[in-house]
Amino acid sequence: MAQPVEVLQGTLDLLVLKALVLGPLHGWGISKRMRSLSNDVFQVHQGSLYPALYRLEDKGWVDSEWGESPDGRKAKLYRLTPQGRKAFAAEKANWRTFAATVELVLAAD
Amino acid sequence: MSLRRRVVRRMRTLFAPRRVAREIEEEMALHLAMEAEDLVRQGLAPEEARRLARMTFGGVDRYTEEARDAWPLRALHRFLTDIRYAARSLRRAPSFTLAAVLAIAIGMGANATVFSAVDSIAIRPLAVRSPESLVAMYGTQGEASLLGFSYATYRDIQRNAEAFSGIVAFTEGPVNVTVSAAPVSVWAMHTSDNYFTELGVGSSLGRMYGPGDLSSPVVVLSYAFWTTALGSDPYVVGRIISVNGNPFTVVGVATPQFTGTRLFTYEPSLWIPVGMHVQTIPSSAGLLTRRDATRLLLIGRLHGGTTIAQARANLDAVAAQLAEAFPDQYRGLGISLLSNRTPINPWLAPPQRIAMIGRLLLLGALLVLLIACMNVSSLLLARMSVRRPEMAVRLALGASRRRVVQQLLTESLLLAVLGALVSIPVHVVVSQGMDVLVPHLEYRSGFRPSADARVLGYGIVLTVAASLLFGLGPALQASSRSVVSGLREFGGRGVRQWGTRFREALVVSQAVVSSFVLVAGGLFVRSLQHARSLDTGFAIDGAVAFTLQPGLSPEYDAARTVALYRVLDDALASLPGVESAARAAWLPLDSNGSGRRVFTDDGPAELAKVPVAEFNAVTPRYFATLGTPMVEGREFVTTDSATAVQGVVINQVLAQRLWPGTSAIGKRLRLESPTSPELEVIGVARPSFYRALGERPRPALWVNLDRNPRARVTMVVRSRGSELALLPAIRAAIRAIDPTLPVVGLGTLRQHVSVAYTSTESGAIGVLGFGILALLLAASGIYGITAYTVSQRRREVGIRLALGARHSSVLRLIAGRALGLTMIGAGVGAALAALVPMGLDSLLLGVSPRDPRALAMATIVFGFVAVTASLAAALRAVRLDAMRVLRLE
Repeated sequence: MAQPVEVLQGTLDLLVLKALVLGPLHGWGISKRMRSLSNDVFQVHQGSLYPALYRLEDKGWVDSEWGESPDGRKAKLYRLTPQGRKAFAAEKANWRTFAATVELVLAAD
Repeated sequence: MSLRRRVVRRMRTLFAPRRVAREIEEEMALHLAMEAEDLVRQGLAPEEARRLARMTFGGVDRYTEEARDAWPLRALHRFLTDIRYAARSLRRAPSFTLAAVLAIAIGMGANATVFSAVDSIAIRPLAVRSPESLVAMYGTQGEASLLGFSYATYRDIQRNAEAFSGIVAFTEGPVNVTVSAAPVSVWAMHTSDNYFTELGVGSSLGRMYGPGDLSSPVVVLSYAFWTTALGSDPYVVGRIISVNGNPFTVVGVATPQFTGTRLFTYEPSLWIPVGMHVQTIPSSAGLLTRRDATRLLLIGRLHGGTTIAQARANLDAVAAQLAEAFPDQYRGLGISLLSNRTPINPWLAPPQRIAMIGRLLLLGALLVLLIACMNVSSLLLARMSVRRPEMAVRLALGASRRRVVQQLLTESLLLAVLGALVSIPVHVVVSQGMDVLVPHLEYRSGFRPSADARVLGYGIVLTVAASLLFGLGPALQASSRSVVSGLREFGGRGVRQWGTRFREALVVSQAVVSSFVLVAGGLFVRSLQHARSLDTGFAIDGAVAFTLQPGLSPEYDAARTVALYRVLDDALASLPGVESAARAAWLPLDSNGSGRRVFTDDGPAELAKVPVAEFNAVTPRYFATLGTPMVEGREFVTTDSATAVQGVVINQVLAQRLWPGTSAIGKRLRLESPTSPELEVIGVARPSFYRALGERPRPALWVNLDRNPRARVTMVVRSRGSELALLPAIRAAIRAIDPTLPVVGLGTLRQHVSVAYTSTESGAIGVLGFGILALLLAASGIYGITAYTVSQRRREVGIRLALGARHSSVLRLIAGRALGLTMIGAGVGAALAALVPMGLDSLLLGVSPRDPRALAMATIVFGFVAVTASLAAALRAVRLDAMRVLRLE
C-alpha cells in the first residue's frame, strides 16, 4: 500500500464529482468508490465527505433524494446534475493545467 | 436540480434546522453502519469494525455542523453581498435610479391606494367564521322579490331547513342613542339572539349577547362607536345607555374588524336583540308576533358539504309547507338564496356597480404598474448596454450565468423596494384625499381605506412580482453568453439589435396599454359630463336637505310631532334667505324609495298586470320647493288635510298608463289593494329621476304626508341666496326648538343626492387619473427610447450633419421609428378599448363604450404627448456638435 497523502484543499470536490460521474450513489458508496479509485492513497476523514456533498448540492452540481440502498435500507442517493457534469469537465481541465504547471515548475532545474 | 426544489431546501435549513440536522445524522449513522459491515466482511470482529469505522469517519458532530452550514449561511451571505453590490451600482447611476424608482413608486402608489379602498368595500371577507358558507335568503311572491320575513316565519324556516346549521335574522335602521348629553342618531341592528354565536363573532370587551337574551335590554357596541362616542371607556360594560328613550345595559364591544354583515352600506354602531324592537321602535309593534310584519332579513350558514342546489331544494320544500299552512299570506311564496360570492347579493355583498368600479380601478392600477415596469425594463436595457463590459468580465472570470442573473435580479428587487418605500407617503396622502369619493351619507359607511397588513401584503407581492417583471428580461439578455462572444466577434452589433428589438416591443406594448387606459378614462369623463348635464327633473342646486326622526323619541307622540312641524315651519319661514320648505318621506335619488301597486276600477284584474308606482308622501309646497313643475292640476295645499276623499298627485307616466288620452284630474285610484280607500287625483307632475340617474321614466305617485304621518321625514329647503349660508342657521333653529332632537345628514341638496353620482364620479376620477399616469409614464418611455437611439447613433448623426444633412431629416431619422411604433401601439390600444367587452356598458351613463369622441380625444392627446416626448429627445441629436462627436468616436 502506498504512503497515505493528505488531500489538497479544494480537490475533495473534484474527487466526489469523479465518483459520481460513474453513477448515482449514497454517501458511503461515494466514500468507498473514492477510496478504491485512489487505491486508498488519500488520507481523509470519511465524515468530511458530507460537508463537501452539501456544498456541491448548494451549487446545483449535485442532486439528492431519499431512496433505497441496494440492500433495501433507506438511504440518501446523490446524483450529478447536467450542470455538475459540465462543471466536472471544467474542473478537470483546470486541475490538469494546474498539475501540469506545478509539474513543469518542479521539473525545472 | 430545479430552482423550486433548491429554494424549498434552503427554506428548510433556515426554518427547520432540527429536521435537517436529524437527516444528516441519519445519513451518517447509515454510513458508519455500512462501513462497519464492510469491515466485518473483510474479517474484523464486529466490535473492532465499529471502532475502526468511527475512527476513519472522524468527528460526527463536527461534520454534521459543517454540512448543515454548507448552504443556508452561504446563501444568506451571498444575498447580502449581492445587496451591497447592487446598492453600490445604483449609487453610481443616480439619474437612472431616480427615474426607475419614481416610475415604480407611481405604479406601486396607485395600486396600494386602490387596493386599500377596494379591499374595504369589495374584497375583504366578512369578519365572521367561515364567511364562504353564509348565504342570504329572501322571499319572492309573484313579481315581488327581495322580500323580508316575519319573526314567526323565520322560526318556521329555522326549524325546517335542515340544509342549514344555523340561520340568523336582523333588521336595521336608525335609533337615537343617549350616552351622556344630547342623543345622537346612529345606525343600529336588531338581531336574533343567536346572531353572534352563529356568525362566530367575538367581543373585544365584555361579551356578545347570545341565545336566551332575545328580550333582554342589552346592547353590544361597535368598536368604532365605543372609541368615538364613549372615548374607549374601559369600564363601559355594565353602563346604561338610552336607546330611543329606553335604558339598555352595555354587555360588550365587538371586535374592530366586525362591522356587520354588509360591506358597503351604513355601518351599525350597535346591536340589540330583536325582542327589544317593540320597545325601541314602538311604531312597528308586532314584529315578533305578527305574520305580516315581514321586516327581517335572513342569513343562513350551510352545513358542511351541502351544495347550493341542495339548499335551494330544501328551501323550496319549506316554502311549500308555509304556503300550505298559511295560504292567505304565503300563496306562491318562494324562498331564494344568494351565495356569498354572488355579486348582486344585497345583504352580504356590496352593490354590484360599486364592486364593478372597484374591480375596474384595480385593473387600471395594475395596468399603470405594468407600464411603469416596462419603463424600468427599458431603462435597465439601456443601462445594460453600458454595463456590457462589466458583465463580460464577470462571466469571463468564471461567474456562472445563474450568479450574474441572481445579482441583476437583486438589483431589480432593490429598485422595486425603494420604489415601494417612496410610494408609501404618496399612498397615505392620496388615501386621505379619497374622502372626496365618499358620498355625503347620513350614517357612517363601511368605506374606510386604510394602510393595514392586507395592503402591506399586497404591496410586498406586487413589489416582488414587479421586480421580476421588469428585471428578468434585461438580466437574461445581459448575461447571455453572446454578450461575451458578441463583444469579441461583432463589436456588439448583434446584441444591440436584440436589445433594440426588445425595447421596441416594450414601447409598442406600453403605447397599447396606456392608450387603452386613456380611452377608458375618456369614456368615464364623457359619462360624467353626461351625468352632470342630465336634467334630473328637479333643481339640485340652491336647496338644503336634512332628516328628522321624531318617531324615535318616545316623548314625540302624534300631537307633539304635529306641533314640532308647525313650529319648525314657522322658524324656517322666518329665516332670511328661505324661499320655501317642504317635507317628504324621502327625496328622489337619495337611495330611499318604495313602490305601491295602483288599482283602478277599470284597471286590469290580474295582479301581475297591475302597475307599480314609485311612492312618496309629501307636504304642500313640495313640488314648488324641489322645482318640479306640475303639468296639470295642483299640488297639495293645507286645506287638503280636511277633504273627505284624500288627494293624490301622480306623474305623467302613471297618468298616461292609467288614463291614456284623457285628463287624469278627478280620477280615482286605490293603493295596494282593490279594497283600500279611494284617492282622488288632484295633480299631474312632470316625471323626474327617482332611483337612478338616466333611468327610464317610471310611474310615480305622492300622497299627503300630513294625512299619512311617518316616523322619519326629510326636509328640503329652497334658498334665495347661497344655500351654504342656510346650513348653520337651520341647525341653530332646530336646536332652539328642541336641543335633544338629532338632525341627520344636514347638507346641500346636491350632497344629499350625491350617492346617485358616486359611481360615475369615482369611475371618472379614478380611471382618468390612471389614464394621466399611464400617459406620463408612456411619455417618459418614448423619451427614453428616443434618447437611447440618439446616443447609439451619435456617430452616424455626426457624419450626416457634417455632410450637411438638414435638421428635419435627422429628426425624422431619429424620432421617426419610435414615433411610428408608438402610434401603431396607440391605435391597437384604442381599438382594443373599443372592441374588448369590459362590462363598461352598465357603468357608463349615456355613452357607448365605442364613443367616437372619447376615442378621438384619447388618441389626439396621446399622439400630441408622444410627438412632444420623442421630439424633445431627438432635438438633442441635432444640437450635437458634429466635429466633436466625430473626434470622440
